[in-house]
Amino acid sequence: MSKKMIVLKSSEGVSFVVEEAVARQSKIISFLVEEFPDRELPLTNMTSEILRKTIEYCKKHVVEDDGGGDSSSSSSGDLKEWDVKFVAEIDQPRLMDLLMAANYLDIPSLLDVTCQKVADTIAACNDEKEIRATFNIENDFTEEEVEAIRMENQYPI
Amino acid sequence: MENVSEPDDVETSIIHLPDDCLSFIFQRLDNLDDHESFGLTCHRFLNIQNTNRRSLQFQCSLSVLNPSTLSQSIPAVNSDHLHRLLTRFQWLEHLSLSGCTVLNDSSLASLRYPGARLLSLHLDCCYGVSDNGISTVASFCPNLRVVSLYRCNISDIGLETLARGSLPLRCVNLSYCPLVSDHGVRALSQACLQIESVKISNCKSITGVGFSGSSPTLGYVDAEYCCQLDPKGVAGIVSGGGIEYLNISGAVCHIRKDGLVPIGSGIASKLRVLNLRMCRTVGDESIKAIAKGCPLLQEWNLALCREVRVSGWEAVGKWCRNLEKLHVNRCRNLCDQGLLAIRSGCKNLRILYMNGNARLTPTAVEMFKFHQPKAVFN
Repeated sequence: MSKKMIVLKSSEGVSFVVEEAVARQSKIISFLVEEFPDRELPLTNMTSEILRKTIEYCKKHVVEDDGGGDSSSSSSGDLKEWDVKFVAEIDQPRLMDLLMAANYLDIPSLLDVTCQKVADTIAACNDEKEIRATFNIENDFTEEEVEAIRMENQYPI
Repeated sequence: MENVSEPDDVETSIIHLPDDCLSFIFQRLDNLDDHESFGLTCHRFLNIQNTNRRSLQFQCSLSVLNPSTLSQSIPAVNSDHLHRLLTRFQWLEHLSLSGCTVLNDSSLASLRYPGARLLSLHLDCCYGVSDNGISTVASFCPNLRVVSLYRCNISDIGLETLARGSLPLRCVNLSYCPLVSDHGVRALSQACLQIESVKISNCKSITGVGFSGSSPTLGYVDAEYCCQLDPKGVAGIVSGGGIEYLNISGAVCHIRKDGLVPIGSGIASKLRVLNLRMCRTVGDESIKAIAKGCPLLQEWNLALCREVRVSGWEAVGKWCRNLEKLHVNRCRNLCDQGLLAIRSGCKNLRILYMNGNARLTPTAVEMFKFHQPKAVFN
């Protein structure tokens, strides 16, 4: 049985041919495929590199519903492990790109793993100074503001 | 065509993420320290922290015991602190000011910030909050579902204001509000058509008649130590027909032997838990009617009900087939024949709370254990 393929085009104009089932994990693509069948879908705000990564993720997570022969369907434990490795290998700028891609394309599971990776990185920091250093964030607070926030923070639990 | 206006030289950083993504990340931080560090990073992150907070309570709320903070002395939450916190956390749905004893009616003006988003508000032990404060609550928080006013300084006037505000109230706690009478309860129960639970324990002037004609959604009433409770009032409490849990323990003055017959009239047929502890004067007529009229009863506390005699216990055994827990502590008139009736009838009994039953012989107790080995004695 031949699988239906669709074409996704990156911001650099590079075409990626993907199985429809793989691409449909994105709710946006799923919608577009129904609206514009047999048409190339331009993803102008995604570079080839990030699109390739996103497709790699979606391929791993596609649910094989034909239950066919040699596809060794991964158990959910293996898949979790694969996800952890997948985001661990990506550098910070690429991780942010991928997170935004997941948000833009509406791929909930990819958004979840990328956000979790960022959250874990934040949680591993000792204080706000370390968070700023890790993510290269400028401190736009005055001393007085910080003091006021700290004062407020001592109340709620 | 190469690299025209490509922003490749600027690498994507966390500050390029839209707010909804930053919120997703924030929601995955699972402890308060991390939340605070996140908020102290920069203004934008602080805003993410603030808008994500849905519930707020304080050390003094008496509901959370945190040993590490017992030794610290955190200054009492005053109007100014509350104002600053509520302007900061405007997306709160649940707020507990319980134990903030310094607050008064005017402090509650800050409720305008969470306003309509607020679903639950606890003001337990806010002694300085009176009817004016409740009026502020009613006008700023039109979507409140839960309000707890334990030991607040409110009267019927405050309750009438709440009722007039037609809030979609489900749960109301009025325990230890001595100024509240049947009048206020009537206003509330007539206005709140979705009310599910009301606590009026230790409200010494409530007879219960205010509940007459209350909504069928009313399933839980705790009227412990309401010493003015009378038979007409009890009939009023169950009149909606939805009652599943009823506690009238300690209602000693005005309930005579047949005073609780109305519970067994069939209107309270959904009742599952009934606490009559220390209703010392309640007699067999009431017990018979309840046993017959409340077939779903799972737990029945009859501790210290000294006037329950053989025919009462026999009715329990005969009709209470679903009973799982029964309290008979210090029931002076529980005799061997009564225990036999319970043993032969209540086949689903799992726990029998008993002590101080002077009329029971050791043999009868042993026989009970032998025939109902699954039941635990406490």
